[in-house]
Parts: sequence; structure tokens; C-alpha cells
Amino acid sequence: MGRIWSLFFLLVPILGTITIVAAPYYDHWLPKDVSAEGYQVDHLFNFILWITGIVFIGTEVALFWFMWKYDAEKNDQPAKYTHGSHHLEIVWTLLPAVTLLFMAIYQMNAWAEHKIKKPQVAPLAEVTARQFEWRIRYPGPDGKFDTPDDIYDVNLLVVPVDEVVLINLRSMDVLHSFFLPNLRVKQDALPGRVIPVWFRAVEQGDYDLVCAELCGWGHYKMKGRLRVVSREEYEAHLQKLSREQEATQ
Amino acid sequence: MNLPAAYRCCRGLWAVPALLLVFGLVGCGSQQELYFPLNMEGRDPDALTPQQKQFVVNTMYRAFGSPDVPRTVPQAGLDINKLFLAAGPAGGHGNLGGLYRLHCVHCHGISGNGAGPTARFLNPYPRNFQKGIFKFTSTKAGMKPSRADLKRTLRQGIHGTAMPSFVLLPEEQLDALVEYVVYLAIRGQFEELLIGTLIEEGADTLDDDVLEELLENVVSQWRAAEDPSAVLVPPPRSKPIRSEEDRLAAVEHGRKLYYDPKKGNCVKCHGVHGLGDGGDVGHDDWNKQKAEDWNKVLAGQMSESQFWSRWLLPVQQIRPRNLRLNIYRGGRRPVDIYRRIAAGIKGTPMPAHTALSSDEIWDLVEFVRQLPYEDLSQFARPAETHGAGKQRL
Repeated sequence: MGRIWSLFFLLVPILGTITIVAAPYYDHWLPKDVSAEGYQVDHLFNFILWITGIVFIGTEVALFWFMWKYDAEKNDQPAKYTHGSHHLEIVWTLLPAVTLLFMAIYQMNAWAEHKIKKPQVAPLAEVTARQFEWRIRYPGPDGKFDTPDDIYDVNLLVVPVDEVVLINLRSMDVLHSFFLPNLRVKQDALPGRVIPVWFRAVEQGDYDLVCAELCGWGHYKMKGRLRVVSREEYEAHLQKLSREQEATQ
Repeated sequence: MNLPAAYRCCRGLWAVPALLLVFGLVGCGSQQELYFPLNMEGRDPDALTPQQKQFVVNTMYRAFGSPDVPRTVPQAGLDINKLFLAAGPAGGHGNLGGLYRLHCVHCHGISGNGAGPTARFLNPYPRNFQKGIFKFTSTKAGMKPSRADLKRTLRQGIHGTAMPSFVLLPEEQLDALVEYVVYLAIRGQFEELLIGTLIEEGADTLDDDVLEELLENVVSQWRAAEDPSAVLVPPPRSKPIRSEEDRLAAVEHGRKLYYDPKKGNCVKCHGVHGLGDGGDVGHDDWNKQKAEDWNKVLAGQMSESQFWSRWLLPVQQIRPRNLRLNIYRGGRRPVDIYRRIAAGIKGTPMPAHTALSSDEIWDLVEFVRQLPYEDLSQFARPAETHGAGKQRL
């Protein structure tokens, strides 16, 4: 066997790279981004993927090289021990430290856009996660929650396209996570807290709303739908819901 | 040991095909066909003789098949194609079937007895379909739900309970699940009747015409619920609400009815403040007999092991709804609340209110819908109830 093992280990970086390069062509990459701000998340993802990818390939190739060169069958010399290289240690400590520090600073704008700079708009809806569904509540014509004109729905969140949408996220029981893969939005829902979540969808259509935090045995079935429509359709939808809710027959 | 280097590094690898072989054999072992368990809940296990048990099992299999291969008789009015979509193992029948086991079985159990693996942790317990009683229906008092009612429950879920919404499932899957629930309910009711009749008559078997009569007994109730005349259609208000003053007047009238012992008398259970704290209302139909048995255990007239040989889950007490939570299990539409008041909530201590006129019920509906938005600390109690409040304290 001998060196076959080192070749075997060389397969890891080769197959890994091929998988990642080929994935987008087989539709196994990130879901389509339909948000105004999602590109920042994708950019950070790709940026970090490049750095870690290069380090990964370098490490794997080094591993292969050592295995190949110092294979037991080809070397009859006994192993030598070294006290290490001070310079080398400084390099491989500082380099990752500087890289990590750079990433920490580099991502600050994106973080602020997604989590800190809450837009100055009224909340469009309140989404309450519970085992195992999404309860949706719109404030109704008066724009206020907890008034008799609130409009209720479940598992279907309808929002207007090209508008900044602010959602009040709550949980009724345990930790959940409000995940809109196509809008690059993911936020934990905590019982007892109202957490603002915002996004701007730029393309109409139906998208997944899933729970991204293991919340119990039925976690897998906690699916909802985000429907992005025009402003008119959005208004019409709310009116329809409101009419149904007031049905006396 | 002085083994060749090549062997030394590879010997562990023999475990891989060996393990694969073992897992493969275990994984591909022949699947045992699943049968519906005999439903002896609420009875002593030896209430039936072995011959009687065998007869029940055979009859049930003949009429309804198994969880994998459901059967039906024309008389039952069930759509076998829909049943096949819902029955079977999850992902079975070419990945089209098995809907019931995919979505429902953890709570409602394979036979629909409401005692699936997660049932024990839920309050209220998941519905036991086998009794054929469903709480939230559009039908008149005492009637079965229509298929449309069950579908609405699947779509909306039951807010405030562990029943989630399945609104995103395609129409045909919802229809299949509804059909399967009706199938389990008819099956369960028929089994109950069959066992009851066998015990009553002390017979080992029953003739086919008797069986058909028993089945007709059950099926006719479900058939009646599908008839348009079964739906409780609330008459419109004689004086429609046109202004905020009208609405407030209706609310105030509703408030009076809420406390009126001869009219609504809602205060008795739902409490002075509508918080659902009116007092002990006992048990629902699924727990009543169980509670009696448990009382016998507490009184030393029945052993605990005897109790557990009869029942699958502990007794659960029912609580009147807290009307201030703005959560309506049976739906928040005025028509839903109207039906809850007029026809009652089936299987529970919430009665059908026959003493109220339709206008009075509409006023109560307005009052109930107003309650979540009223400040508890400023709640105006009508003077005449003060006495009742004091008594309670």
C-alpha cells in the first residue's frame, strides 16, 4: 500500500474542490437571492469561503506531501525530533489572528445593515413562532397591534415587493429561528422577546419560510411560505383575509 | 506480533464491509405487516373472551383492512383512493402515500386513539378519533362534523393547542387526510358498538345482518353531517350593527347575558372576569369515565394496575376557555363563535344554548370579541353579580 495512502488523502482536497466548483451548475448552491441587501451576506460568505478554501487546500497538500515524502517503506532513517521554529510559530499565529481581525471588522457594515440599523417604518406584521407553525398577524387598517381590526393568518406571510418590510418576531413556547433562505434572513425567536427583523424583497414569488432552530420533534414540519406580491395584491389579500375573518355566515 | 506492514494498516478495513453487511441485513429485513390494535380502552382486558376477541379482530379486518392496506365497504361511503393516499408507511405507495403516518401518527396514534408517542406530553390530549366526537363543527348540536369542517381544522390548525396548521399541503392531500380521519372515526365507533353488543348479548359471534345494522348506525350519523341541512346557519341580526354605538349597545347587552343565570350563564364556568376561572367543570367525554375510574383508585376500590390495564393516558381535566387571550380554538370568525355558543362544543361541558335567541347569541358574540381588548382592572361588573362573586371567594 504505502504511498497509495498519501494519494488517497490527496483525493480529499481534489474531490472537495470539484464538489464546490460543480455545485452551482447542479443547482446545489445558495438559493436564489431575491433581497436588496442579501448580496452583502453572499459576499461575506464567498469571501470567507475563498480564505478557508485556500487554507484548506494548502493544508491538505502539505499533509499529502509529508505523507508521501516520509512514507515508512521508503525511509529507513529513524524519526528526528525538533524543538520547533520560533519564527514559523509567530507567522502561523499572527497570520490567522490578523485575518480573523480583518474579517471581524470587514463584516461590521453588513451586520449593522441586517441587525442594528432598524428601519424607521411601522411593522408590517407580527410573526409568532410556535410548535410547529408560524402564526401571522397584520395590524390592520389602523396600523396598531392588539386592536380589534388585527388580521390573523397562519403559515403564509404576504409582503409587498420593493418595500422595506419590518416584522416583529416572537415565540410562544421555545426557541425557534425565522429563516428566509431566499432573502438571506435568519433570526432566532425567543420566548418573551419581540425581535425586529427586516428585509426588502425585489422579486415577486413564493419563497420558503422555515424554522432553523431545532425546536422539538416536529421541527421538520415547521414550514411556512413567504409570498412577495405587488402593493395592490398585498392590499387585496389583507382585505380578503379581513372579510373572511368577519364572516357571519 | 510481526505482521507485514501492508496487512497491519489494512486489517481494520475488514470491519467496513462486515458492518455494511450487518446493517444491510437488518435494514432490509422483511417488514412486518401492521394491524390495528384491538381497542379495549375503558374496559377490563378480559371483558371479552378469546373467541369474542378473535371475532372482533376478524370482523374489523374484513370491514376496514389494516393500516397498510385499508378496506372499506360501499355502505360506509368512504373513498378508497383517498384512503390509500393517507394510509401505509410514510413515503409508501410510490412516495405518494403514507400521509397519515407522516403528519398525524405521532400524536393521534396508528388507530386514531389519540395516544401516539407525543400524546402524553400534550394538554389537551390529541383528539381520539375512535369516539367519533369532534369539538369544532359547523353542524348542529350533537351532530358529526362535515368533511369541510375537518378540512378547515387541518388548514387552520387549532390555535392554543398542539394541533398545527397544514395549510400548505396540496388540496388532494388534505382531502385524503380528512377521508382517513373519517375512516378511523367510523372504524372506531363501529368497533366500540361491536364490542358493546358482544358483551351485552354474551355471544361469540354476530350475524352479518346485525353487523350491517351496527355499521349503518354509525355511518348514518356521518352521512347526516354531509347533508346541507345539517349546517347551523346563523340567522342574520334582526337589526344590523351600523355604527359604533350599535356595537357598544350589543356588547353591553351581551355582557348582561353573560351573567344572566337564566340566559347565557357563561359566568358559571368562564368566571366573573372571563378568565376561564369560574371553577371546576369536570371532564370532557374522553376523560369522564377515566376520571370515575381514577376516583375509584383514590378511594381504594380499584388497584392502580387495574386502572392502567384499562387506560392509556392519565386523566386530564378540562378548563373553560380564558376569553381574554384572543385565541379561539374553533376559529375567530363571528360565525365560529356563534356556532360554539349555539351548538356547544361537542364532547365538552360547553352546552348548546337553546335558551338564547339568535339576536342574543349575536350580542354575546360581540361581547366575547370585545373581551380581549377590555382592561381587566376597569372591568365593570354588573351589580347583581357581586353576591355571586362574594360567594365564590
